[in-house]
Amino acid sequence: MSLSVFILILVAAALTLHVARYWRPLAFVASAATTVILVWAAQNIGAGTSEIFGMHFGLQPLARDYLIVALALSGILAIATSFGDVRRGLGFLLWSWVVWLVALAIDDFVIGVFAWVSGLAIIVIAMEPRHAQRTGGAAYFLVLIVIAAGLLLIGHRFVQLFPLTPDRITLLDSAVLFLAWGLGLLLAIAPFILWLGPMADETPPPIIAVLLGLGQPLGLWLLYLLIGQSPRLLEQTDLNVTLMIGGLGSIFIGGLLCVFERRVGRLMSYAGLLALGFILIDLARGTLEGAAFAVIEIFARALSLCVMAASVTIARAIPNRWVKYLALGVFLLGGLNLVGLGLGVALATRWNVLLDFEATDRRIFILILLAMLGVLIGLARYVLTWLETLPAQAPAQDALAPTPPPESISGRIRFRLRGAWLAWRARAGQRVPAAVRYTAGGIAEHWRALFAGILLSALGAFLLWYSVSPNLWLQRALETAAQLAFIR
Amino acid sequence: MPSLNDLASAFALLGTHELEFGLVIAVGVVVLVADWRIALVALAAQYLLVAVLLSTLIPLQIAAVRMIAGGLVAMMFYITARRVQPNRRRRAQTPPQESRGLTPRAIFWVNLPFRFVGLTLVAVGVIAASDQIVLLNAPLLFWVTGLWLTMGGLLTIALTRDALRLGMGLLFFTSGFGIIYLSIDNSLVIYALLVIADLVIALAIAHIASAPAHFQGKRRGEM
Repeated sequence: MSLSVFILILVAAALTLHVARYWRPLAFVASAATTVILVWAAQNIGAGTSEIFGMHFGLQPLARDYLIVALALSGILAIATSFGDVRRGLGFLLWSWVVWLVALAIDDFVIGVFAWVSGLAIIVIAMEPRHAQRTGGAAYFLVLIVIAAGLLLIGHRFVQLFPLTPDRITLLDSAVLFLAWGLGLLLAIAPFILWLGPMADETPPPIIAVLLGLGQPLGLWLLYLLIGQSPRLLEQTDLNVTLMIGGLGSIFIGGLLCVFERRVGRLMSYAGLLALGFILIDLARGTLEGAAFAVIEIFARALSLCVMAASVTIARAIPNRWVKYLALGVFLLGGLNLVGLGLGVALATRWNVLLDFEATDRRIFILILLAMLGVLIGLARYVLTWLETLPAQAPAQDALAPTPPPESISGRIRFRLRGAWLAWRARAGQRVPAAVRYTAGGIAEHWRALFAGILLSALGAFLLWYSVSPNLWLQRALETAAQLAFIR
Repeated sequence: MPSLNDLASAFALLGTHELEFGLVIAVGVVVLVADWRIALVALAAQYLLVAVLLSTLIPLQIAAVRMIAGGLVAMMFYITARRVQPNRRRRAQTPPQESRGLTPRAIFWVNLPFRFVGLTLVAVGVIAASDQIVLLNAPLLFWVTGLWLTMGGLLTIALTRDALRLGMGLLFFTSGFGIIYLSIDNSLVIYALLVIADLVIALAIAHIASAPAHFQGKRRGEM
């Protein structure tokens, strides 16, 4: 399958979700179906490159792996969103991928940056301003997107001009300054974190997960695409030192902010910031092993944020107590994985970094441990709040409560038609065996709880399996990272 | 119907000084005047003047695309502003005690003298900066104009809490950035992408300005 066909499928899937969101069962079925179709289609994209308007498009193995995982996670978030009463953002979980796919597949930094920030701008449309007509987190995020894109383009221009005057190293230094500034703003690397909280206040958790977990790493992808084209950017500048300082700052500030936070959006964002810090430190090593660890960290961060967002969304949508407890458990698993305390692969990569610091600088080692503890405290406080809000008994809905007939003519027609349909259904139901009738009735009444429970159990099981099979993931990450241009 | 040649001859009448003066006035209007209709006219005029300025760097036919995009953006903003107008009117008619609960309180009082002082400081800053620094040997005319528009846009963004006004500031910023970037890299791809970006920004701002509020009073410990 070619990339252009896949983009068409992606547009069709996003459009389907966007239209299907009005009716809950249809939204659920469409979300599940599009997830399966998109993951299948992404696996079958051809390895070759195609040329459009002189630009080359092709998916590298790592980009393909990322796309498959990202579409699966976006689909899972879409399914979780479809259970709720507010499904406005359903299509936006996929719309951004239409342009982000271009950013993943293209070999041109400028077009890639435009595609990336266009996807981020589309995400803004899915946000929910807290005050009508007033500026807030969503509007300021849009401002940041525009400013950061400008900075990245200017940084790229400096890189382009450097080969004309190779003796002027200041051009490369200026390039790193603008690139670090632009990427720092969009990735919310310390100290550019100010937009993270207000943005999280106006954004539903699934959109936060897509934005931070799946959208942000594309910026790093573009940076390393540029480094692959101009290796001197890494060799003759202090880019790795900048990444290291940004990573450490993100870990400390992310951990500190989590301690005081009890809003789930902000908690996820700040905990994601801590995980981003580890990614930057891994990248700053500049080795194949560091790149592979960064890849694993990126996947772990995306997975954790999506699991947390899905569990919170389901817990808000479904009144059944057992679903809420299950969601709480899965949320905790996701949180622990984000901190790096989930057994297995994330733990291995985190402790690799920690042991390095333990050997070189114990103060940083202790500070990182404290930051991780900060996220744990934030998680614990939020879980306690969650437990307090759980009702002792879910309010029973009286299905037999009489409904007064509407007064309008169309309302009366609808009322009569519904009455006829219910009477026919009751008569038909009497011919079905009682056991089957009760089971079908139970499923019809609690289908949301049933499928939400299945989804949560599957997510929890996947997290556990993912955690106990570290060699599988590390091997794959090493294989795909070794094929990246900047490593070669 | 006027042809492109008529347009070119009309543009030729505008000298550099007229263009500069027009853009100074446009930024001044958006920063200082509170009425959204006048600010929208200033935004549309800015698109026209920037297209004239860019026609010295790129072919006129291509520069005219920016004017068309500007027209679309202005139309989008106009429709959005008209749609939200009843809410604005209702807010204006609500007694101050009640309206205090409806709208967020400004962080500090941003009145006309404050905005004027801000604009003056930005103007002084632009003159000083353009005298000291030049980005990658950009021609002075484009450097000063671009800097003025970007700084004016940022000032508008910083001073306002109205989403539409913020959008106007953002579009001034992109216009300024477009001028600076095209003067150091005369790439038509970048130009096309900037025009598309303006439309995407306008779309997002129109959404933010017209979306209903989701404020539920929950702040800390919300579930």
